[in-house]
Amino acid sequence: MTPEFETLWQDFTDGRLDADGFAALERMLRADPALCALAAELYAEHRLIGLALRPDPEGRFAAATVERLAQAGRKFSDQVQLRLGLDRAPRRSLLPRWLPYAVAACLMVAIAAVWRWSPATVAAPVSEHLATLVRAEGCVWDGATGMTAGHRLLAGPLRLSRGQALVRFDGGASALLTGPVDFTVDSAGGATLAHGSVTIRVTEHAAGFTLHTPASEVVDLGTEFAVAVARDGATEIQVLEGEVELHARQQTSRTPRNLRAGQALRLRGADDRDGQPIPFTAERLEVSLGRVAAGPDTGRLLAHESFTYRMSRTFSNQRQADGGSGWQGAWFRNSPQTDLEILFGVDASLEAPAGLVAPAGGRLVLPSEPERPDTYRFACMRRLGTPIDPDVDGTTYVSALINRSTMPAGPTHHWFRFMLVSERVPRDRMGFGVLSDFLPQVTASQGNVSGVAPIVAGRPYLFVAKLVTGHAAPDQMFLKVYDHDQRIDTGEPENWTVIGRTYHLTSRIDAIHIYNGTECSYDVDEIRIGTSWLSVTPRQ
Amino acid sequence: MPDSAAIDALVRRVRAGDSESFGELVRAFEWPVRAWITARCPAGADADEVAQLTFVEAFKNIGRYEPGTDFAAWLFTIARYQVMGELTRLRRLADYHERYFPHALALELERRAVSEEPVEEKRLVALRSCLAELGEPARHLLDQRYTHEVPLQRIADGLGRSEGAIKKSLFLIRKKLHECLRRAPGAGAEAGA
Repeated sequence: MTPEFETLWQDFTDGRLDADGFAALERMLRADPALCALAAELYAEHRLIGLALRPDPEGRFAAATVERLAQAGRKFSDQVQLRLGLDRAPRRSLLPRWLPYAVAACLMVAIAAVWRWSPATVAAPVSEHLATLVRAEGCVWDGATGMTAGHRLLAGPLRLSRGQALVRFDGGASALLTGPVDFTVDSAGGATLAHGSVTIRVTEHAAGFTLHTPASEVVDLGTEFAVAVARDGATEIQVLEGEVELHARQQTSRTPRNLRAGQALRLRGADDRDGQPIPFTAERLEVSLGRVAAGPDTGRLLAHESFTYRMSRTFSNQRQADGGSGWQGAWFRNSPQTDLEILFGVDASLEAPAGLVAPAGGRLVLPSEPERPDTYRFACMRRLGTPIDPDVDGTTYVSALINRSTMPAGPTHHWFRFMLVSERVPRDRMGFGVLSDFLPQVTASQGNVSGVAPIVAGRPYLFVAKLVTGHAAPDQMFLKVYDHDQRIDTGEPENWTVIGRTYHLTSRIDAIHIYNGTECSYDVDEIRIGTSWLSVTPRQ
Repeated sequence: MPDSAAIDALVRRVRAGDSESFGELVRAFEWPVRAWITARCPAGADADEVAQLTFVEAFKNIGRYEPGTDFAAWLFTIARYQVMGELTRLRRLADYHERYFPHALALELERRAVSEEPVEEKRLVALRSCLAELGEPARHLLDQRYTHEVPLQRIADGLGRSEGAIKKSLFLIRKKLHECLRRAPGAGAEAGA
């Protein structure tokens, strides 16, 4: 469940969803059958809570039901006599004749369309990413190397000897760690602080967060609190905004203690049930973040293509379209049997959102079937100079400007795909695109996930994808789509447009495929592949 | 729950004019039927009304039930029909799915109404046990929200807390109940899938 869904769902069950919220919830449920199945479970539980809590004097329902029959206008005994008469002679069914057929048809549909909590084709992951290291300034990690901004985190310890790190949990909370700190990621919504200082901020729409310390369990009720644990286990909790529930380890009753904004408490240790008030000294997370200047981007641009070509078309065997950097060979169509052309818009680059380096050169043109027959059949392909090894822990970012240039020329079949593929094992692939309903999508062999806001024709969008790979955890792609007049995040976005399903890529990703079909044309420009967010979203 | 022989005996007595026996049948199946229907009725439907109609239809058609077969299955077939009818009725209301209930969720409930075994009574029993494990403040909050349907802001005002804190507390309580239900044998999500 994403924080966005949790917020919408909470508002739905409490009858507070407005028209826009309903539309957003509808789109999310339609786009993800597993989410829809989960929603049905949650809905059933919600309704059953009401039933379980309802005061229900014994026998009331049965008595009311029998009374209802009596009020039908005929005596109870007359009705029974009528039934006795019907028992002895063939009688006309009181249920519609079509009912058995309708039930059978529905059963067949239900059997044919089996919803599951998770796709059956996804191999069970060894472990699962739960959070993202969003920022790391001057960090010296104890026992870990190579962790930079964008790194996805599994459950486990994070021991920071020095520096400042911002961790964003998949449940929506952010934790600012200031070294030295011994911190453990427990789940998408929980962590343990053995010693050191953290400030936790939970957005209004997030599910909540639980922080375990030697002396207590602190449950966020919105929205920001700071905790410091000394080496001897003494724990100080200071609530900066909102409210927290404090469960002391030695607490005997089930009633937690609530601390509100401005309150601060110290627990001497695990045997301290009540704690003592202390002066309030904590600093807001944003203030602490601002004290430490952001270091230079350490990412590398691995490949770049701005389509600065003088020809409007070329063919695979001509190997003319070999510009840009970080590629192996020229553009070609992904089948040697075809002599289909590859088309460019010369000196017609797409417009980038404000703040990004202005594009130069031209664009890649993917015509529709009515405009150029058959060009949709074979992808435009180019090999990567630096392949991506899915067995290596890392993150790869891909960005591209994408423009849906026309209204569809037909009722169906207007899709677009930008795929990272293994040339040797074509089924090993992951990428992004746009569906027939113009929704952005993350695509992979094990299933697709769609966003909720459609792409509009005639406006270039910036698609930025992040591919997370690793040895111990499944691979996953995240996609952020920016409209032309949207501000581009300077670092990893807090919310992604689409989060793809997890998968295990087994082969090196060594090429990109770009293709569309069939009744809608697309343009592509400024393809960048790099190892950091900033490397693929360069600023002016 | 009476065994099948006892149920069939009750049915025979209903057919012979014994009204009290019908009341006994209703009491025997009241919670399985109410729980199953409650879990599947969308917003705008009165689940207990649908449950009563189920029993009324069962009574009207009691002569069609064959003793020696499965009375519960027969009764739930009628319940499915009633729920599907209610879902169809609501689907035809203008703006219903834009303002009250997502269409995709309604379709999923329809699918479950047709295809799933009724296990809601077990879930209701497990849920009551899970509710008993909650602390008093949590129970009070749920009572305010579910039994008395007090608006969140009024709950917050009454408790001297922020509306946001009440929302989040409700979320955490529901999450705790969800996890408790998943652990309960025979009452978890997969039991009804």
